[in-house]
Amino acid sequence: MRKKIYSLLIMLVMIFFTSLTIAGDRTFLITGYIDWQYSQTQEKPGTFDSYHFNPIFRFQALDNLTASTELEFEHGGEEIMVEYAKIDYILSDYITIVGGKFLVPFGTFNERIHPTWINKIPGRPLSNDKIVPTGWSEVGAMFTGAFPLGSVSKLSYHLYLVNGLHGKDGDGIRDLRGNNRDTKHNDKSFGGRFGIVPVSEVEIGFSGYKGAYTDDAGQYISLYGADAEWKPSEFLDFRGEYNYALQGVAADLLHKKGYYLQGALKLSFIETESDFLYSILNPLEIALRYSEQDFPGETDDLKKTSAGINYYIGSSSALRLAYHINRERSVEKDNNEITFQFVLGL
Amino acid sequence: MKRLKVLLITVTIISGWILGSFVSSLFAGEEITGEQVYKNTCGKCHSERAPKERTDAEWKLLVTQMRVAAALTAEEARKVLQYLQDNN
Repeated sequence: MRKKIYSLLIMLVMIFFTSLTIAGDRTFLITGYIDWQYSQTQEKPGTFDSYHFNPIFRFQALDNLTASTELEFEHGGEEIMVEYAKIDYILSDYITIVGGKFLVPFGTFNERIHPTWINKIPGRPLSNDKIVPTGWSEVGAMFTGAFPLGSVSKLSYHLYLVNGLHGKDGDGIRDLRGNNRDTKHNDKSFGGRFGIVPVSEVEIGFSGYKGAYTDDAGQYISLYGADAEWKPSEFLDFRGEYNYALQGVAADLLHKKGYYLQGALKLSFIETESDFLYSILNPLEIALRYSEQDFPGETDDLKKTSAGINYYIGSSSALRLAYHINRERSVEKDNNEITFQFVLGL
Repeated sequence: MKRLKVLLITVTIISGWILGSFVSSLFAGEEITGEQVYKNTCGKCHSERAPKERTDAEWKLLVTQMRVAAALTAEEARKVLQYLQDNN
């Protein structure tokens, strides 16, 4: 029944946008991404997975007024949901108002990096799974904008008020998403991110979030984060995030923290006069990522080292092969994983 | 303690380099082009899509929306759009 409703919703969205396009001189565009993968974890059977088909419907009504929605079909349609559905209204050079359901700009992985055609290593780093619950959208309103500092540097801001994470006392943060309508209390959640680009190759950001997450608004979650990106050349880039959560539970305060560091190098930097060698090296990229999560107790303390190689077929399509070494602090498990992924940005 | 020292020294060196570059860029008055913004800002997250992949109107829509996601200034968005439309 739920799938039928979503299918009907998609058809209505398409008809709505198409009719608007026909009606006036406006722009309607479908983008998005699709991927499939094969993954195998030690001592477990491997599986093919039609992981994502995420069409994004974009519409421009005026120069300063646009709407967009991303529908998410995961695991061959087992999970269907609206990842975001929002209206962007550019009020001035420095203020844009965003309303609806939007990806939360906490760090950069959640809002910018997680789509598989962008994410250079399949899967999420540990700091952006159970601390910042990537794929995290909220319903609310946001002010955002950027100010130039000289000709290259700039400051940017995102400030938002949203329904916020919601669930039962002590639930994992990842399980608190999806609070699309919040009629339990008026204690809404708020947050923001401030970014600075000191030189064009570098961006540094600081994020915060606070909100009540239980029905009685008696328990709060606070999130703090710092992120950085550095792209010293067209072949090489580095990025990382540090995230820290304080979650109130009955008579206690849980501290959860984690970080990731990632580097990627395109092999096209190697100069060669051999056309054959160039044709092999030019589409290749190697990527390394290390992440950790540190939770109360030792059971959930994890470390993950990932090494991957990407073969770019086009600017938005790639074959990715990655090996993940998973380490547990308490009882070591044989759960390393190998993933082969085929991604296409639409 | 040794790890902390190494970390502090690394952070100090990187911060100093960023701060120095930042201050010099403020006074250098160099003009950044739309192509440079496209490669440095959009290219930080994803591979650059070729300008010919989209029409003028489609680039206008995409750049207007990416201005929010990528925290572009108004001037950067105008320059990137001009670059993409001039080269599609």
